Amino acid sequence: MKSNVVAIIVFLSSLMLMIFFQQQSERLRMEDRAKDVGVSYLKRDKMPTAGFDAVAADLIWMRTNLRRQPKLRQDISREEKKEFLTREAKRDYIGYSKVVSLDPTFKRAYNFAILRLMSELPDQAINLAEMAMIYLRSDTKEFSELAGHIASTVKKDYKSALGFYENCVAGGPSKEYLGRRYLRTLLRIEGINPYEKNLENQAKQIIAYNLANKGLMTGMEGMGEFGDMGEGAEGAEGMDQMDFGDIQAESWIQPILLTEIRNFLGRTSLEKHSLSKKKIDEVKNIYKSFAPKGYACQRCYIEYSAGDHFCYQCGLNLKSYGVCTKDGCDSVLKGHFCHTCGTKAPKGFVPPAKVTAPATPL
Amino acid sequence: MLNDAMTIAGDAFRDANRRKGVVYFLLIIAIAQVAVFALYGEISLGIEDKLLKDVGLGMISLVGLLSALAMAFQIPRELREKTAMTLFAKPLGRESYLVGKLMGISFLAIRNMGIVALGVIFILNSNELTGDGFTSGFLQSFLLTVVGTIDLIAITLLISLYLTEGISVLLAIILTILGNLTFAISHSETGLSSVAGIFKYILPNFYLFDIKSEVAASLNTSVPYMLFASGYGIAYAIMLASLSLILFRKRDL
Repeated sequence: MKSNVVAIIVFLSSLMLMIFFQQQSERLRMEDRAKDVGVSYLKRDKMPTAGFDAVAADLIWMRTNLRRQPKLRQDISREEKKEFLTREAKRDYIGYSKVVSLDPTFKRAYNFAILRLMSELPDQAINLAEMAMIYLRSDTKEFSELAGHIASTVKKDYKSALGFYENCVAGGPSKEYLGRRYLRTLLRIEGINPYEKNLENQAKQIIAYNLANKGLMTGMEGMGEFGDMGEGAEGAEGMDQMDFGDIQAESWIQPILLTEIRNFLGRTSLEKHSLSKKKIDEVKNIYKSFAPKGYACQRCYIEYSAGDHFCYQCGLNLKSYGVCTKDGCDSVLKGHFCHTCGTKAPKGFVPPAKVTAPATPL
Repeated sequence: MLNDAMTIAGDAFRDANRRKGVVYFLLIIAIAQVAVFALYGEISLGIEDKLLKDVGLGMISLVGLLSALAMAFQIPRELREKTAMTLFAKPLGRESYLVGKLMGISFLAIRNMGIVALGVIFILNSNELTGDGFTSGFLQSFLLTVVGTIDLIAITLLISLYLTEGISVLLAIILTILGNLTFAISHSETGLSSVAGIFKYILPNFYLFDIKSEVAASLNTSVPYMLFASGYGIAYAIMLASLSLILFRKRDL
């Protein structure tokens, strides 16, 4: 009797302890996951794998990838071919969905699946990319880029694409091509084909307008302010209300804008476009604020080197510098005297910095 | 009582160990792991590291599960063949018998899981394909798997007191599956969540011990979590053992 009472006391006390420890464990695990992949990682619908989720995910992934697909017959119509490819993609999508629901942090599976499905099932590919952004936070940029690419090139849904590219550039410097994609998508939303040359001028203005309008060029710190980017893009007409007063901030967008405008200015003269003088001056002002501080071409603002007589981009006759002033010599000066004819360098000439010889012979 | 329990534990350990199937199975797993590892480069499509960790930790769990099922074979057989009665005829309490069985099969499971874990660690550290190799996360997962296996042994102890071998094994496997689902179901937005919310205090919450995917994905598991989850597992095992004892004492053999 006595030992039974002891057993009952042990049972009840361990029951209470068990409930307490379980609640605390659940809370702590949710806190742990909230820090990296989010609580939804734990709350996701699970398959009855008895704790072998990861192994099951690996096996299904290999089976999906190594699945022998039926051969595509060559004598079928385009519609039949498309139907065939979609059917096969759907079959693979089922496999990949199972894989990532079993193991939501399986990065390679997301990569494979998105690339596999992007042509036939772009919506599903984007869904997978969005899921990857949730569970693989350190790879958000990579999957945002993929989703943006699918949305813009396959689905032609530029507003969604813009959102994904905003994710890419959010929170710090990005690869330059991502910035370019972002800008091109922005133009697409405005109904402008950025590759169409006769609209180039207008496109560039809108780029400049949007950037300025959103404060990107004035004291921008990161891309956090991109939230309301969709509004305010009013097209070329917006240039009239533009204020480029304080264009000086360092940002990732600066070199992109610089290159964009430089290419534009370099290929053709601004004056050839049917723009008002005011607008031409405004675009020039944007460029000037970013223009090189040394010697630069007056037309395309490309920085040129000592001894250059013509702009390598637009061919404009340049005012050369750093060359011997003696008629017929024209050597590029290396020091205070010409190394060809011995003529003294003109007043104010700063010789280029000497290159230090390596410590050991090369 | 402890000496008696240890004697029974030693006997249960030897009895389960005598079955060559377990040893052969471990050997096959070890050989298969090494053999398959050579093929990982071809079949894994660039995820050798993840695959090895997943499969290694999965194997440890599987060996733990199979070791726990030894309980489901031992107790019903001993009760059916009346060999347990000879023990009770001696001055051995039923509590010593149950605690001894629980300890013996737990030792067996830990030994078997340890062997597989050592094999996995060896492979993880012996090849450059396996990335960061053996990590603290692997050890954490191993420890929680051990605690989870002890819980499973305690469940099997309870059900094998009343059921036959086959049904005990089946029920233990079903409870393992359900125990892995209760956490997710109780937090899901389905209609089952309220039911699962109650059952998670009755069924073992094995999901608390399953951090295998997190380890493979290099997600961090905090030390307080390890302590509370281990505490939960131990408390659950003690609760089931004491419940088994209360019921077993009332059973007329």
